[in-house]
Order: sequence, then C-alpha cells, then structure tokens
Amino acid sequence: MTRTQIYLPTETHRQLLQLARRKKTTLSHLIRLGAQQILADEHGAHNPQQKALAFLARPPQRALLKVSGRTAIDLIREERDDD
Amino acid sequence: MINKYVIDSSVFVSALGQPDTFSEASQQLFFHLEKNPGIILVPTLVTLEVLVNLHKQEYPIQEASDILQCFQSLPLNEELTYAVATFLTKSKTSLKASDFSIALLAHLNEATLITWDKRLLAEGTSICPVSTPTEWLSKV
Repeated sequence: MTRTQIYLPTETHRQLLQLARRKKTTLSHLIRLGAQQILADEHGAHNPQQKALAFLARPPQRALLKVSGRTAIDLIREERDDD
Repeated sequence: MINKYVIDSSVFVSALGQPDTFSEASQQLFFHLEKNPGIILVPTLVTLEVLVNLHKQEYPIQEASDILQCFQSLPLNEELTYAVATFLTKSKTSLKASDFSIALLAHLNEATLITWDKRLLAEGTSICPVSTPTEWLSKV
C-alpha cells in the first residue's frame, strides 16, 4: 500500500469516525472502500478486468495439446511439489 | 463493501486450457464475477504458473498474458517477505512456500482465495477464506 495525506471537511471526518466506531473498523479502511467504489463506478462495465472476465467466461474453442491423462490442476500441483 | 478474490492457477488453466472436469465450473465462476462487482487479484506466481502450463498445451501465450495483465497483480516483493516473517513468528503453516505465499497474499488483501487445489482447500483455511468455484457459485 502507498501512504498518502488528504484533507477532509471537518464534518465528513467526524461522521466517518463515528461510522468507523459503529462498524468496528478504521477511518482508513472506510476511505479505502470509498476510493475503490469510485474506481469501480468510473470504469463501469468496460474496464480491462471486465473484458478479461468476459473472455474467460466464454473462451474461444481451441485445438490444444493434451499434456497427459491428468488434469491441469494435477500438473500445477506436481510443479509446486517439485519446487 | 467490494468483495476481493485471489484466483489460483488451477482456475485459470481449467477455464482456458484443455477442457477437463473443472472447466465448466471455472468458466461459470468467471461469468458470475463478470456480472457481480468485485476485485480480482492475481499473484505474480499464479501468472507464471498459468503461462508455463498453457505454453505446454501450445496455447497462444501472448493472448494469455494479455488476459492476465487485465487483473490487479500481487507481486512477490519485500513487503510480502516482511509479511511472511511476521506471520510465521505468530503462527505455523504446513503449506509449501508457493501455496503459502498465495494464501498469505489473499489474507493480506482481505480476499477470498478461489482454487481447485486440494491442499490449499484443506490447509489454506487457517490463513484466509478458501473456496472452490463450485462452492462459491452455490452461494451467489
């Protein structure tokens, strides 16, 4: 995470502190959530993540090489165990 | 609150690679993530594993790389090294380093780890919430 300094209107600051206490969280956490929400709204349905998810949900049919009789999951597990 | 998910290599490879018994559920997971707001996080190690595995299946690697770069990356860096040391001074783990790093990155980012890997499903829960795509889909 990157450390930054911001100015908040006094009343906004007071209300956020109250909310943080009520939700048993921190002011920083609430501000991070707000920032993430702004970015999610800004990018909408056409951000790079959405495009990638759409591709992964409906990948094109490809003639791929079958590496072995095992699933790809088994192969990844074997590679991790070999490390 | 926005949900965050760390997606493991097994889910990406089963969705993109040679179809197997897990492929359909993996693709359904991505379909539901596309429709529901959330942040997808991908550890650098996962990106490497997916690219190497797909390369062995002769999948077009540049395409796979372009897809993975659309997600927020979680690097293996000094910050993670510090977090590993901090975690291990308080807790024990039986996971291998690669599995542990992925589970710890999910923990540090307050994310749910989604995987098909049996070891992570069994032993990762002591570090972060872990779910298979099928389990996650049953809750939405």
